[in-house]
Order: sequence, then structure tokens, then C-alpha cells
Amino acid sequence: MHLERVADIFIEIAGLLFLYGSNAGEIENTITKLGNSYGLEIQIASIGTVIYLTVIDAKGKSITRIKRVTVNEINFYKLEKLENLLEKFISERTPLLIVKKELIDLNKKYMGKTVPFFITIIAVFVACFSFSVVFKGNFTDAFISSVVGTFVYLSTLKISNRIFKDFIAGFFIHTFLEVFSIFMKLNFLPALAGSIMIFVPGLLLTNSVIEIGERNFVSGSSKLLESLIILSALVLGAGISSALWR
Amino acid sequence: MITRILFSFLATGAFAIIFNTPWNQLPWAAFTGMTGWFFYEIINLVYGYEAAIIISTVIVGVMSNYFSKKFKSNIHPFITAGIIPLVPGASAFFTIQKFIENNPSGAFRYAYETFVAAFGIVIGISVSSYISKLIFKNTRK
Repeated sequence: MHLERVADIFIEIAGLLFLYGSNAGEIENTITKLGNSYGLEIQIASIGTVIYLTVIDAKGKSITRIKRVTVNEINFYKLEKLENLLEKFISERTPLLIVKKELIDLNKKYMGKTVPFFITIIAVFVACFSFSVVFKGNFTDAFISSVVGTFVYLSTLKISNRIFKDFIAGFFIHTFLEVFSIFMKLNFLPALAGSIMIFVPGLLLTNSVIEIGERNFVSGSSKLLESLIILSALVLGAGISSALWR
Repeated sequence: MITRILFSFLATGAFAIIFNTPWNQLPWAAFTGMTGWFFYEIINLVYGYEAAIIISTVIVGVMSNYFSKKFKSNIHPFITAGIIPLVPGASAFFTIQKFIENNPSGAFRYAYETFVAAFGIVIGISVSSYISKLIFKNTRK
């Protein structure tokens, strides 16, 4: 197979790993192992939202591909299926034409294999309710928290800009809780904490820390900064609402 | 306290569903979060907030490594759900709110909590990663 086609397949796989939630170290290790199993030298760097890949064959011919992944669909189910398939490719040295075909098949097979929307909404409701109790709220606080959290989650679902989304979410959560607190006695801290937890960038924060630990400083610190900005947007949205209600 | 620990199981389990965690790993992701919160509550009572955040994150990290080895899967489904309760979303908000209310002493108290939690998680994950490498030498990830 032409080196160009090989590089295209590898960058496609790296992009899928990123999309489903892998961190930089995992993407780099997997693609390097995959390339090495086919007798190719791989130079790869996953920095922030950009993946740089160079594939070098036995004769020294090299080709470079760059891919920017702007969307992030956290899906651990698809990630596991993809990783299992890649392990099989590495151990069996599957011909690259078949690799391409199996990747397309995998994508088709598991395209709709995500949690149904209504179950996600129930999960959001349960998460808000439970976190409110965990943060020392009573069941009334937890119920209000879960109603507000679920409503704001649904309202902000279509906003693609994560920072703007979290800012709006923080603003609305605080505003709705203030409205509820006019009509009933509400412990504000647990009710608010329960609602905002579903917007906290947990995976981004975890990945950033793991990457810094693996000496992927540029990628890790950019993700850490992004997670802190998202968290700040959430908090500032709620903070501005708080200032307006004073 | 028992109620809170039980609800931490539900909270982290619900989070794992939102992240499309495979069904067979879901109870274990929730169990990781519940164990982390259990140790957070206990250590917070005895040794204070700072030790509680770091030690409970280390426990979540080591457990996540163990489960990723057991299921031959990625560490993310377990560690992401597990640390969510420890992420300082609420204390970060109250820092800003106290500043807005012109209450600097209150703001600094919450800012300190936020700082400790954020960097406690960073330290905890790094430590757990090192400990896990020592314990589970044959871990896939």
C-alpha cells in the first residue's frame, strides 16, 4: 500500500481515539505500536486539538499528516471497541486494506450504540439529585437541584462553544435557583453544587493531569488551562447572576 | 454520612452513563467513586481537607488502574467518574460570590479550598499513577 494511504489510515485512527476520549500519551503509544508492527517508524505528537504524524518506511521515505479534531464526543463504549480492534491489528499484523475496511465497519456497527437520549436525561437528573445529597442537601434541595440541572442541560444542549455553554449554564442555574428560593426555603450551596456538577470538565481535567505526568507538558498544560477556563466560565456565569440578584 | 456515601455511588454511576461507559464496567466505575468519597469523608474528619483530597484521589487512581487491568480496558471510565465528586466546582463558585459580596476573608477561604482541591487532584493522580505502575507492572494501559 502507498505510504500516503497508510498515513491517512493512521491519522484517521488517531483522530478517532482523540474524539472518543483518549489522552495524548495513549494516542501516541497506540499509533507508534501500530506503525512499528508494520515495520514503519512513527513520529507522532498530539498537542491540544492537533495531531501531527510522520510515517517513515524502511527505505527512509517519509510522509507527514496533520489533523485538527475540533469536536469531542466522549464515548468510552466506542473507545473500548476501537482499542480492542487496534490490539487485534497490532498482534495479527492485519493487512492495511482490511484495517481500513474494519474501521469503516466498526464505525457503522457502533454508530448508533450510544446511550439512548431519555436514559441520558434520567442520568443527568439522578446525578444532580445525588450530588446535591452528597454535598449535604436535603431531599427538597436535591429535587430542585435536579429539576434545574436537567432543564439547563437540555436548554444548552445545542450550544457547541463549550466556554459559552458553561457560562450560560452557570448563569441560568443560579438564576433559577434564586427564583425557587423566593417560594421555598432552599439550602443554596448543595442545590447549586448538585446542578453545576454535570457541567464540570472532569475528563479534560483528568487527561490534562495524566499528560503532564507523562511529560506531555504542552498538551497537558493547554488542556489544564482549557479546563480551568471552562470552570471559570461556569463560575462567572453564576457569579454574574449572583451580582444581579443582590 | 452513610446516606451521602450511598448517594455518591448513584452520582458517579449516573456520570458514567452520561460518558457512555460500557454497561459491564458501570457498577465498578460507580463503586470507585463511592470508595473515593468514603475515604474523603473519613479522612476529612480525622486529618482535614487537604489530606482528604489527596489521599482519596490516590485511592481512586489506584482502583481505576486495577479495574482497567481487570476489564482489559481504558482507565478513563473509572477515573473520570471517580474524581468528579472531588472537583471543586462549588467552592470555585463561592470564591467568586464572596468577592462580589465584598467579603474578602470568605473569598480567600473558598479560594484556598478550590486551590487545594484542584492541585490535590493533580498530585493525587500523579502519585496514584506511580503507585499503580509499581503494583500492576503488567497493566495494559
